[in-house]
Amino acid sequence: MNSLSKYPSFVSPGRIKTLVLPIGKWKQDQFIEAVKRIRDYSEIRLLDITPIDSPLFTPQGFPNGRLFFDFDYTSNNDSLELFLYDFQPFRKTFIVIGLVNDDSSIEQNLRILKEKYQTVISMNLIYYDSNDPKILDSELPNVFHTNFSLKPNNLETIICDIGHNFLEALSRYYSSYKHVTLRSPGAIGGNSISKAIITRYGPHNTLVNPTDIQKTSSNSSKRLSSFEMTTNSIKRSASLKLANTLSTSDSRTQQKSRGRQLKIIGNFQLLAGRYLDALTSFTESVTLLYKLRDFLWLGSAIDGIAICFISLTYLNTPFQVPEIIHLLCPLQTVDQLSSITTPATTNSIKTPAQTPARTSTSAQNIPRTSISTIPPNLQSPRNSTNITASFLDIDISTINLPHLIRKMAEKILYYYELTLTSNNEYVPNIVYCDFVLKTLSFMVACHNEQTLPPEILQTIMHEDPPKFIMKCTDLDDNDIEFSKEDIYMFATKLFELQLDTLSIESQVNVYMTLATTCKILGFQRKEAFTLKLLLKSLESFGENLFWSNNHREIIHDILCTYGITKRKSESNVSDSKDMSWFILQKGALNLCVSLAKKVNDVELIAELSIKLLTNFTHILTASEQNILFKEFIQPCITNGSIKEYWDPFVIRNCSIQRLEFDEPGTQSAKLPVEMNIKDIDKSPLKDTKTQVKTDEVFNPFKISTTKKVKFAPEKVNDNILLVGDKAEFTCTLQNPFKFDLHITKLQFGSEIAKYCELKDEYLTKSNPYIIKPESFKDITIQIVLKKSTTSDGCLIDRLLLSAFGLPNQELKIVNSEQHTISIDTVKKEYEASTDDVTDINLPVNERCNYGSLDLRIFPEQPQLQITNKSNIAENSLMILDGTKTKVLLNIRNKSLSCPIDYMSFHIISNIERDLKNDYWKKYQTDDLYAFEKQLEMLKKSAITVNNAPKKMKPGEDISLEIEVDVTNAPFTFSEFDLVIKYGMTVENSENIYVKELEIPYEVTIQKTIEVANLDIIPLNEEMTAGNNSVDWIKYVHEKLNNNSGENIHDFVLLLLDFRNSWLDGLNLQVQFDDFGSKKYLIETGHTLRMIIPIRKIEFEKKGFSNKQIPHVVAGRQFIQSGLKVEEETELREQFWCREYILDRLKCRWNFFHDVDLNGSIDVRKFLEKFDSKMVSTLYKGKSLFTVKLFANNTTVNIGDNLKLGVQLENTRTKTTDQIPPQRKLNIWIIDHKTSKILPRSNSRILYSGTLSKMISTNKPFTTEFNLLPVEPGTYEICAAVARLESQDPLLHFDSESIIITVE
Amino acid sequence: MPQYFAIIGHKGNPIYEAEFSIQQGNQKNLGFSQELKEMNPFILHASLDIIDDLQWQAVPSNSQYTNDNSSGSGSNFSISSTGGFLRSKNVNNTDNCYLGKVDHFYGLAITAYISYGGMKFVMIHGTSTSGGSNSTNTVVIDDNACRSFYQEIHELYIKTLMNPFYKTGDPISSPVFDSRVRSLARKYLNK
Repeated sequence: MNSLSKYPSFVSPGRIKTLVLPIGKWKQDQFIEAVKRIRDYSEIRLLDITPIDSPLFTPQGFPNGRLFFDFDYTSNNDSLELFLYDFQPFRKTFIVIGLVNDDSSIEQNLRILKEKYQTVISMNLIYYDSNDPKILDSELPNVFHTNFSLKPNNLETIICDIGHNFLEALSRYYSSYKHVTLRSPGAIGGNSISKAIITRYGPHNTLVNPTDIQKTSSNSSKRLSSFEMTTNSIKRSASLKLANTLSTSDSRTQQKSRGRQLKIIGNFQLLAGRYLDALTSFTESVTLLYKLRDFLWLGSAIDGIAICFISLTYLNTPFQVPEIIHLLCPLQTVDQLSSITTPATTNSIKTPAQTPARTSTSAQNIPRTSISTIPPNLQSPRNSTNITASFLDIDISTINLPHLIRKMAEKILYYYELTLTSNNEYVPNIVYCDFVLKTLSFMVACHNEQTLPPEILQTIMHEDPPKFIMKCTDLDDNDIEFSKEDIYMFATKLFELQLDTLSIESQVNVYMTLATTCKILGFQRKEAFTLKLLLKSLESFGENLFWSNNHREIIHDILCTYGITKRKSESNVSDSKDMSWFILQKGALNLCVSLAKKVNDVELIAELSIKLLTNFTHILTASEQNILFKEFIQPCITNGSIKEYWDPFVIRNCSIQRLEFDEPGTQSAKLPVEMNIKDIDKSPLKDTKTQVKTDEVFNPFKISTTKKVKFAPEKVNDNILLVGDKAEFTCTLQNPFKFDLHITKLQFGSEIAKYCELKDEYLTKSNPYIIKPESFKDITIQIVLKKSTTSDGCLIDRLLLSAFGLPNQELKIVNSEQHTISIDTVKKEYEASTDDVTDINLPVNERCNYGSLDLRIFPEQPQLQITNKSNIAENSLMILDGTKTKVLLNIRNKSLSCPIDYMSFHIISNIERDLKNDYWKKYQTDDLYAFEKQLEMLKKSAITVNNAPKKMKPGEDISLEIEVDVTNAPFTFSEFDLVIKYGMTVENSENIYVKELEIPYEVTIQKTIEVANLDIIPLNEEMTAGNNSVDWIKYVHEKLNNNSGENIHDFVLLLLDFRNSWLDGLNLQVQFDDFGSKKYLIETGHTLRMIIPIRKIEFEKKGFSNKQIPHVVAGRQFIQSGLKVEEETELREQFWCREYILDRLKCRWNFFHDVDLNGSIDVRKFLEKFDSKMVSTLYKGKSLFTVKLFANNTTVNIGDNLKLGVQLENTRTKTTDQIPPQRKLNIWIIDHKTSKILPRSNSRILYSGTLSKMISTNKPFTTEFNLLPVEPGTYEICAAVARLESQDPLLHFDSESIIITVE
Repeated sequence: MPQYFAIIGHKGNPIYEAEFSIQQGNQKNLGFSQELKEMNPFILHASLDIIDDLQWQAVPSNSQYTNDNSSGSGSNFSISSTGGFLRSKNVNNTDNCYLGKVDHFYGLAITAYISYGGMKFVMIHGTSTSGGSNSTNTVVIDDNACRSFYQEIHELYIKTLMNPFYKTGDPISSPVFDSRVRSLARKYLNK
């Protein structure tokens, strides 16, 4: 910020104001570089300068002296300060140096300079890199040339010559002042000069160093009064003296003018580097002016003396402090002090002010001592009029210069303030201000030094602003001449002035210096505050400002201090939660923005206004936001300095909807599923929508999908779309601001653009999508699907967006806000801090959770279509049980471009569909077999597609022939679906896009012949051989005849009742093994009993009890049936017996009228399970024993004795444990007609003894029973073996019996 | 005589802000001018530098920044200088939180009080003629009343701290707190 305003130096009145101007074609940086080089030679020794004639200013007069140039390339409007040139001539710009880098003519350049800078006394031209001989040979003393591209070695010489020119000009300039009566600025400028108005807040006397007061707290008043007394006494004596000597006003005026002349000579001598002469001039002037109470000029003269002191110290020239100064600012010299102070405190030079208040009384006396050191002979020189070079002058080496300067400064301010009562001899505001500022800079420069070391002097002399910043040290501030508080208190003097009356340049100067001071003091907030005041005054300044780029530094400083710069609430959670002083920040930012606008720094406007808008959205009112937007942001958008939209969270949730089609719910709406070829047959395609997630707990709050509007576009779960689909993209946009948000473009990112894009033609700058203030709004745009994606699909996590016509930018999709710092972030930070990884500033925005959308686009798919509804109406089929029929179906690949590469046909019947997954659990093994067998038959043979194609070309027609065979179908079979899975292969992959076409059929099975009943009876009676007209008798006879080893007991009869349920008569034929029955006609509604002779099943051969019941579906886990071994055995036998029959029994029928129309009967679905009686009848040798009954006579008369022989034989060759050795043999007598067992004691057949006998089973056994029938009838006698213990449970019951007729 | 009062947290963030002004009868509102209202936070914020400096000063000097001249006839306030904030351990005086007048800006005086927890209670005292910057009136601060005001505010603040739902450093939004502070201001400052 140093180029914005000059940091004042205490010695600036001793510097020659020089303006450097570019002539020719300079580039800015080039010129600044050149000036910088010249600045290296801003200090020129008088020794190096050619002498001049004037005795007053010749360098020979003080060869040690220096010329200090103040090279600058900016200058204020001269006329504004014209009134000050008499009073402070150093304010004038004395020298103009034109830097010429072209070959323009010397004369013309000089003429122009003269025209433009009429008041400047010395014009110089420096030609750079000129080859013009005219210039090179120029004899003019004020025209120089040098080589800029090389290091100009003659630059110092040139500056020396310029100095020489200046001294000559100065002497001429001074001569014009020689005889002029110098007037005060107030007298020259009149009312236009702003008077310094000092408003005292609080205590009156600000002149007295506050530190002094504080440190000498209790006695300060005393000391001051004594001081005032002293000065007053001087005044009084002086005025008395004056009254004597200057009795007439004439001589008073003369003296005054002389004093002023001396002062101005002093100023000029200071400029000319003749410091000792200047000191003399100033001292004389002070003496005169003091007497005359010309306080304004007096103050300025004392200022001159102070500058002389510093300059001489800088040159290491010994000098004496004039007595008058000593008088005005009483001082304690070093020797006195060291003689008084205790040895313990001699480590530093003590000034009276430094003595702590609460120390010993001797120390308190020091100030007074110093005053009393003004010797009693003080009066004598004061009585003389000439007090210059008094022997009482104190050598500079003995005093503390900074302290002296400070005292002098206070005195000067005091005198300045005294002038304020005067009408025209008052101090102008600017003079006062400048003095305060330069004193402030001096205080800052030597704030912690007692003496002035050369390096500090260097900075003071060269106007370098201090670089250091005061530290808060533990040192006692008392050791320092200018403590922090001192400096700050002094600085606040400026706030007692009416700064707003100053010119804007001066105000800038004041505030900048104050700010720098505060910065050095370490008061950052004060600094920012001062800068804020500066900006405020600049903002209220009416005219346009020309300002260098340095305003950015200032604004940056302010923003830093108020904590605005580092705040990144848009990406940092903790920042966004941080409670800082928003009002303060907002105010500061607002000011900065409006200032940036004033300076017309568009980039800064853009940056700051966006910052203001985004970081302080919540505290800006609607009108503020509107103004901010309209006046600052919108112009920035127009001129392109705002390049991107500022809200990173503008895009919220996104989704894709597939739109409905011409025919809702039809095939075209279905999406194919990508599957591996191998997997297709395994799992039935299930619609993802209807799939119930079993692991999910029922959620009553979940909106049921069925409640939705029927034809509303449905969200795509996996975001799978087809090329050529109609689909919409919906995303929510937010506008957190209080003005309308205009969205002018919304598009997918570039990597997605090749697959699909948004149809956004209607979204233009002139027709934007407007989002109302502080709202969310959904925008829905149609998607144009262009190309299929790879199987991985593509990820949409960002969108191309443009708001307010800004350039497109990619913004991420934000799903939700994150309110706390995620653990990951903390962890990352922790890791970073432990690992010393420097770049932790990952561009991760922790304020939100990003969302994304997976999108897959499938290529265009073939589509299968049913062209005619086949030969049956309404897809309903009526079919006779046991018959087959054919159904025709025409299908076509509707797509004209995509072939079907794969086709497969599946049937799902209603029975399968209705089955539960665990249907098999409730069945016994035999039932399960029966059930599953039926299913299997249904699946395998019920419906077959005879000419199933594998592939279809685009547009191809195929006629399918479906055979429906309901022979084995149960009557519950009422409908089936023909599912055609088809699809085309995925490019470069083994997968297939599979679609389904489902054709439902209804089936009604009409019953034809049913098997109503079944029975198995043993064949006991001998049949007459002649009766061969009956087919089964004939068969048995043939068998018996052919095989002599067989007898009639080897056969059983299977009785089957067939019922014709059809409307027509049917011919039925049954086959069993090699037995074939005749064709029997069954009239409609009639039942026919068929008798089928069956050979008994040999127990030994088959061993049914050891054969497991088979499983149709393998792999089920074994489930305990819970049966005992015997029960299991029984079950197996029953099962296998039934299977035996079913395997061999074949029934066929045909229509009585139409022989060709025939069918078969699936007996299995009619037959019941066998009971144990049937089994034992059929199953020869099933029993343990063979019991044979004999009777001597089968026909007896009443009263005849009947002998019944029983022969019992063990059937098993091996006796097992199952057969206990002792058994009981029971005889049962059954009434043949009624089939009732006669009770044990009855009156129909008498018997002797019991009808039971103990038997041993080990060996064949024969016994006899004697019976006496007493009632006529037919009796059936059978024998049974029972367990020993109990009566009833029969161990064996042989079905063979004897029938006895009693007459 | 309007006042602008704020409690400043450790990070320089305001925890509580209030402006006190009095309606004297049917007089005009004696609050700050609009310009000053906007400036007040800035002035207060800037003076935090001085308070920080005073807080850590080894040598107690209540009046260092205040340009006080006890000998001057216009001494408007007196400060019982009994030790700085840091001296609290050694000096048997519990009343060292009150720093007195610490800063001024044009006609405005700024007083401060530091709690032991480091919370800064700062107040800008405006001039009674609805203090514009042109006002030449000086601010009269009744030190004792001011001190009492601060002490009671301190007490209130500690009570707030004891609220388990209040987190140190968060803004105090309790209306009860606000009304109590205002009544204290009426009691001590704008009598």
